[in-house]
Amino acid sequence: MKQKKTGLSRRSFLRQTAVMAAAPYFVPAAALGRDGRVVPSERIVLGGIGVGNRGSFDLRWMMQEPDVQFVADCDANRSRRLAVKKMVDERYGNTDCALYSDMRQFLAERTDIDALLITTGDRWHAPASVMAMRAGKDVYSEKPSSMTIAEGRAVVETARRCRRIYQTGTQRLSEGNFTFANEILRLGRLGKIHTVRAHIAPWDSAELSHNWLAAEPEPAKEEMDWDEWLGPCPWRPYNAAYTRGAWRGYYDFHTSCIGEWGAHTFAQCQVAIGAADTSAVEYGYVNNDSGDHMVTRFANGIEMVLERDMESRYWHGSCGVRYEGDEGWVAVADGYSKPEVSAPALLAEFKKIVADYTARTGCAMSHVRNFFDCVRSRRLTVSNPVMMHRSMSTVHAANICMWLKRDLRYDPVKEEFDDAQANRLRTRAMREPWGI
Amino acid sequence: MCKSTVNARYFNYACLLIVILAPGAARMSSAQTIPPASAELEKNLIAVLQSQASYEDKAAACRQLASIGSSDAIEVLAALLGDEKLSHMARYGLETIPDAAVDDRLREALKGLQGGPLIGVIGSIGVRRDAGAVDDLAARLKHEDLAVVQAAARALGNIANAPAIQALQGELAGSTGARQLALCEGLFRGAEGLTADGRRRQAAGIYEQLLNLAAAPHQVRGGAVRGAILTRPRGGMALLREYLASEDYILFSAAVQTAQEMPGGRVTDALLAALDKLPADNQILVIQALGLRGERRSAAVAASLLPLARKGPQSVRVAAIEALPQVDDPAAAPVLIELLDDSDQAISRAALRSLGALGGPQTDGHILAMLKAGQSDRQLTAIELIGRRRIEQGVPVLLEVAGGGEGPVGLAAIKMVGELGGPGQLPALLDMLVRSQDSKKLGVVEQALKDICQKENFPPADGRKLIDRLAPAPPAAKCALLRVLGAWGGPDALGAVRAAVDDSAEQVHTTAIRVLSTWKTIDAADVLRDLAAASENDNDRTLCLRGYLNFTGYPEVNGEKRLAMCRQAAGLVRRAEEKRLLLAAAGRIQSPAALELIAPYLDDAEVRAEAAVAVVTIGEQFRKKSATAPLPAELTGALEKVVQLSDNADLTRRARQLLPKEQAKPEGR
Repeated sequence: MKQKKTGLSRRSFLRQTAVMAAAPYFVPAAALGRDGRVVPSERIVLGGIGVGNRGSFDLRWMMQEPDVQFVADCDANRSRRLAVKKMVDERYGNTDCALYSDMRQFLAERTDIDALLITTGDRWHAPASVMAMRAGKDVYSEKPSSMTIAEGRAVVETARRCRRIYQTGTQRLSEGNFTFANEILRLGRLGKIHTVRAHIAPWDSAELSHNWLAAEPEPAKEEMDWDEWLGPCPWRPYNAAYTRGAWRGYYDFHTSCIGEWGAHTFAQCQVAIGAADTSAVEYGYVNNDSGDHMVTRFANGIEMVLERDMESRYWHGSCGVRYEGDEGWVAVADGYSKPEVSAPALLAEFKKIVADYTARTGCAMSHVRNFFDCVRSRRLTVSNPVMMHRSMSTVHAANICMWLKRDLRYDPVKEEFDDAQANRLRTRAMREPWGI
Repeated sequence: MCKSTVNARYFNYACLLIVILAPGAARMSSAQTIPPASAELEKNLIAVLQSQASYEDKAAACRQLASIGSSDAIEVLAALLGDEKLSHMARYGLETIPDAAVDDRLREALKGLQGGPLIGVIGSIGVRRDAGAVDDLAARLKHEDLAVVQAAARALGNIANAPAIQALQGELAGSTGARQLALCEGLFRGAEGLTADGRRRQAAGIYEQLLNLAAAPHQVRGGAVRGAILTRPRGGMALLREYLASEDYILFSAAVQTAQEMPGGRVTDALLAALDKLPADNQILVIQALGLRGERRSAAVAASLLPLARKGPQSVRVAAIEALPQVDDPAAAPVLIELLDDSDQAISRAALRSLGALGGPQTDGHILAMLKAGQSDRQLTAIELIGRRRIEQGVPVLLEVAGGGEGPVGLAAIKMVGELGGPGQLPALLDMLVRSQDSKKLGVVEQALKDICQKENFPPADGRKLIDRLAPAPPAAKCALLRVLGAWGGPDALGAVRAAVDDSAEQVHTTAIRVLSTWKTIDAADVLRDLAAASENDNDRTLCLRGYLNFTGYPEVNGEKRLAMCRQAAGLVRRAEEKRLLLAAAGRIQSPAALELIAPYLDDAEVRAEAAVAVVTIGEQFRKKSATAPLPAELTGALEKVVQLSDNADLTRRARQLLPKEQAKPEGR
């Protein structure tokens, strides 16, 4: 190993490079002695990008896995970096968690890292994932995992090209209740399925703002690298509120109330109806603010209806889905002890159906475990790039339908609308120097 | 979030533009509703870009032009490409305009740009796949700025014509580090473009070049393996076999990963052929890939996995055992049963999981044979598997085993009869119930009967069989039967339980009242009320009233009905315990109307504290519904009485807060 030749230990080398602000952006992989080799008997070395509130939840979850070691975090925001370091160092009882503010430096230097947890704001999910995979990392990215149809396509192609493992954070696909719902549909227990209903966030709207918040003095770069925070999005002046979560509701940063929960529920529905590798082909405009009751239709004839469900008509809880067939229905949302079903007998085989699913697919009933298992086995994750891209394409198309205020048809093979103006919304030029 | 379609600043601009550009109306959207393309709107947006408007307004104009701009907008947008601040938004507007003139302008812009704007323009050329820009882009592959090289390589890869690929290939030799990685990215894209165009041979050539690259990063080597296997017109399989045998883990694992994209028996054969010769870590990957190929009932795959499941390193054995249900060959069942006794718990647990998931009636037969064989540990495992696999045809065997004794096996079997059985098992279970001398067994049989009775579409005629067994049953069994009837519910069961209240055995009498008190529906309420009214026994009356008042909390009981029930109970309560039950129920009514029942108890020292709590709760609920409505007189009076009489300081304070200021009285006693 090269570290022997240089006389540097791997750890001291990593510590040094972490604080070298002007370090080169590429360090030969072999210098750190790992080079993408995650054999089944070795630990998985994990890093983080943009780990904040949700990311900390994911990270705590991941650090419980005995075969995972978190070693470094990268964030444009110093206070968030420090919070991650505190959490990780406390967990491991040392001070080893390294910190970075520049993503390119981080990716280039830390060739020892096998996998990355990416939990930035939505604007960075796809670009950071693409950059990370191109740098040879496997990726667990929070949702919504793309801002445009083109970004989703880039994630799919990069994962294939670099033979990377990728999982989007639609964790309900690895939960018993939701899995059961999907499985009884697949097993035909509900008869012929005609309608599935997908929860969209009951706050905000499909309308997104272009406005700017009032400019505030920009903090020192080491405290908050505003340019890095904005990343590929159009420049706008700094306002601290954006960095505290108020980026939601802005076109540059968010995918609306439809993407907020649709990233989860569309994925659930599409996996259930066997449409994880395609997107809805028809989108019916609804004259309201949110897309509530929008009917989308898949090529197999099944309708997926977007529901805010303010009256708890279809479920009780967040991120609900309901599948309706000619012989029964099932509904499930967060917080359920068991799914709701049209006939209690459907639940008789709950444990068997979930266990059979796990045995058949090898997918653990833990989303992060499924990811790490796949990092080792190199098989597709349950929330793999294609599933992410296809369900997020349905999200994007539904948004575009609302923005254009007219019905749309979408060809999932060509990834084209029947509407020239809609096609122009499939992509957004990235702010230099970012590009995927 | 502001949802207005025109904010104030835009409005001012719009007014200005209306004056300048009349009759057009400049409508700059600040929200995402996208107007239909119109010449007039476009004209106004262009005017904003040509004016002294702020950066924010110009950026917004560019954004709108991205969705509605035409050839008319190209020149004004292109003129901004060299503007450090607006260059990005200019591209934002230009990139989606379907006009070849955009490509001309972007190409022209390349000549004079440096730094960020140059990188951005190269990126946009790549997005638009402008084949006319290949020479310009190729020249940038030697640029000193790495980001320029990366952008140019990506763009050339997107264009993917012969000159673009030649340019990338030409630079690749001798490149190192990040520059090499950038060129590889371009070549990967180029190869994908060629493959999409059906030119697989040329694509395969690129992958070969990437494979032979010195010191390439693992993602390049692995990606090249995948590409080479999938694109080589003939010989892809040979390559797959070669890399499956590779000692280089990156190449090997890339081959396994690629095999997952390749259907067909030949690929399965290649994986099987490689399996025996591999080190343990590599074997695990191949085993998992074999399991996920979905080749069910493949004797060849099972034959390869079974020896690995039996013997070898633990991790390989576990992987093989877990893959067996995916292959689903019935030959696996005896082996898995044998492995249940393995001294390594990781192996025995994996075998148990896999036996649960292995398909087929033959496996069910093996498990039922285990149950019949008579070894208690095995029998318990068999019962667990029968439940996991839902082997309903195993119920008769379970009943046989259940009849054998009160040990763990018998109890587990009875429990499973409840889970899997139906009305057909009622007679046997009832026999066990009435004969059982063991309280633990009695409880398990009772639960099994409840499980069956609560199944969907349980026939009433079968329920009546329970009633028929009631009279001759010994007291303990009779009590259990009453609880089973409670779980079944319905008018027949209700009548039988009511009749059992009159049973001479104290144990049965009390159980019947308790069962009525937790009846599933409100149908038992009146029965309990009448029993309370007629009872001469204080304990019975309290029990009946507790049950009766419990029904006031059922969701189908509305406020009016709840009040009526409480009124009826009020006429029956005697003991302090009963009054407390009444006050708790009346307090839940959350309406001043309940005060008629509660207020009198403020004068009853035994339950004054509970009455005061109920009064204040009702007052707070009233105030929660309306912050300003005047308090009803009866509520005011009751609250004043609480202030006056209660010795609970917190309650007094809360009561005083509810009273109008002028009515607040000095603290009580």
